[in-house]
Amino acid sequence: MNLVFTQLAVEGARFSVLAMAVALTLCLSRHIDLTLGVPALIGAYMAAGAAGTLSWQRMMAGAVLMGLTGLLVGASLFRKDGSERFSGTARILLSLAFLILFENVISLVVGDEPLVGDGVVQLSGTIFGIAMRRVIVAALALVAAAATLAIVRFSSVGRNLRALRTDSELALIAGLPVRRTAMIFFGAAFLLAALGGVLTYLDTAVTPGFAFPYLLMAIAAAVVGGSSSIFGAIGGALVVSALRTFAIWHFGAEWSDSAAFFFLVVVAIVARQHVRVAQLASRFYGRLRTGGQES
Amino acid sequence: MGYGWYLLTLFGIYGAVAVSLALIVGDLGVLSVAQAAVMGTGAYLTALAQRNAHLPFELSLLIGACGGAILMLILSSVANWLSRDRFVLATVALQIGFTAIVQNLTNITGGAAGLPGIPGISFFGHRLEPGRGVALAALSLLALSTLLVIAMRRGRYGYALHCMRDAELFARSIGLRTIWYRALPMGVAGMVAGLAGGMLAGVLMFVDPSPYGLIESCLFLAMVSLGAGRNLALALCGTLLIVGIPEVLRFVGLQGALIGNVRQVIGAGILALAAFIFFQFGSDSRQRPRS
Repeated sequence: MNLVFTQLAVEGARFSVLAMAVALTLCLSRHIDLTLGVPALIGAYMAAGAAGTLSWQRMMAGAVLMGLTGLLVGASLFRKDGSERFSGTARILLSLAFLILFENVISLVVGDEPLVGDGVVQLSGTIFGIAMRRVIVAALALVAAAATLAIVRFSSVGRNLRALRTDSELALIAGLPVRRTAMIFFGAAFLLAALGGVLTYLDTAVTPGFAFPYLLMAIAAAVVGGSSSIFGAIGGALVVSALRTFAIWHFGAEWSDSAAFFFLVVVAIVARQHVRVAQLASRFYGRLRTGGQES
Repeated sequence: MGYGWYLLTLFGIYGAVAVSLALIVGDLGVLSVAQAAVMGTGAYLTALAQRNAHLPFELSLLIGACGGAILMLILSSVANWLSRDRFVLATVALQIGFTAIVQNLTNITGGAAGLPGIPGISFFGHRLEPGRGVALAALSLLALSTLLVIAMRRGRYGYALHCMRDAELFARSIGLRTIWYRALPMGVAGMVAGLAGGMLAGVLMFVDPSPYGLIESCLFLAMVSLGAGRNLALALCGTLLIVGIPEVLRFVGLQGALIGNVRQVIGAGILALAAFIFFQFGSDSRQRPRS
C-alpha cells in the first residue's frame, strides 16, 4: 500500500509540473498547444546527456535555454496588438510538427536507447524507505508549484494573466500588455515543461518518444482540472495519477494510459453539459424575474 | 510481387485513407488523430474473420469496413458534445485505446507479435496475383473513395457540410440537423479507412500494431493537411511524398531505422508548411480588436 501511495504522489507531482505549464498556456489562449513537449524532451536530455549521467550544470543550462525559447515562442504567437497570430488548428498542426521534428532529431543524435534515472549515483540512498531521487522529484515539483502559484496570485504579471483568463477580449480592449504577459508566461511554461522532463528522467526513464504521451497525460490533467486553473491542474494531475495507479493495480500497467484518456473524454463531455445546464438555469431564472418575457 | 507494383499498392491504400481523412478535415473542419486506429480496426477485423472464422475475403473486408464505420460513428456522436480542440483529444484517446487493446489482448490480436498466416486477397474465389492484380485493386479502392468524396462535396449536401464547417451555429439556426450531417461523412470515412486496412492486411498477409499507431495517424494528418483537406490532389501529393521519398532514400543507402526518422521529419515539415499556408487564419483565431 505504501508503494502505491508513493507511486501516486511521485507520478502526480511529475504530471502536475507539466499540467501547470499547460494550464498557463491555456490561460493565455484557449487553444491546445503541443509545443510544450519540446522543452520536456530537451530538458530531460540536457540533464541526462548522451551517456545518461545527471549533470546539474547541464540541467540549469537547459532550463535557461528553454525559458528563453519560451519567451520567443510567446512573442511569435501573439502580435504587438495582442491578437493571436495563428488559428487553433494551425497551432495544433505547428506544435505537432515541432514535437515530431525534435523527437526525431534527438533519436538521430542520441539514439533510441532509454536513459534510466535509476543509475544516478549522486541521488542514491533512501529517506523513510523512499528512494532519494523520488523524494527529490516530489520536492522539486512542490517548489515549482509554490513558485507558480505565488507568481500568478501575487505579482502584477500574474494579475494580467488572470485578467486574460477571465475575459481575453476585455483585457485586449482595456490595453493590457498581452504580448508581454504571453512572453513571460510562455517562458515560465517552457521552464516548467523542461523541469517536468528532468523529473521524468529522475523518476523513470526517457526515450525520444516519451514527451508525446507525457504531454498528453498533462493535457488530460489540465482539462480535468478545468483547463486554465493552476490549482485545478495540480488536482487534475493527482486525479489522473490516481486513475493510472488504480488501473495499474487492477488491470495492469498496459491499460493505465487508456483509463486516463477514457476519463478525460467523459469529463470533457460532462463539463460541456454542465455549462449547458448552467445556461439553461440562468435563462429560466431570467424569465422568472422578467415575468416570462425574454430580457 | 514487383517492387514498383508494391509501391503502387501502398500508394493506393494510403491514398484511400488520406482521401477519407480529407472528408473529415476539409469538410467537417475537425482534426482527427485516430485514422490509423480506424484503419487498424478494419485490418484486424478482416484478418480475424478470414483467419479464425474462415470467411471469404470479400465478406471479411465488408466486416472490416463496417467495423471502421461503426468506430467513426461513435466518434461522431462524441464530436457533438465536444469543441474542436477537445475533439482532437478524444481522437487521441481513441488511438491510444486502440493501441492498448491490440497490444494487450494477445489471445485475440496476437499482441505485439501480430497475427501471421492471413490468406491473401481473393474476390469470389479468384485469387488476385500478388503484384499487378493487387495494385489494381488498391488503386480501384483509391479511385472509388475519391469519387465518393467528390460526390459528397457536390450539390446541396456539400453546401450544407461547408456551411456547418464555417458556421455551425448558423447551420443549426437554418434548420440543418448537424448531428446527421456530421455522422454520414464520418461513417463514410470510417468505412473507406476500414476497407483500406482490410486490403493492407490482405497484401501483407500479416497484421501487427506498428502500422496503426499514433505516429501513423499524425502522418495521415500530414498527408491531408497539404491542401487543408479540401484539395484532394494535394492530399494525394502528400501521400506520394510520405510513401515515396523514404523508398527513394532506400536506394541512396539509408538504413531502415533512419528511413523511419526521415519519413517522420518529412511529415513534420508538411504539417508545419500546411499550418503556415492553409490553416493560419482559421475562423477560430482571436480577432484583432476594432478601434
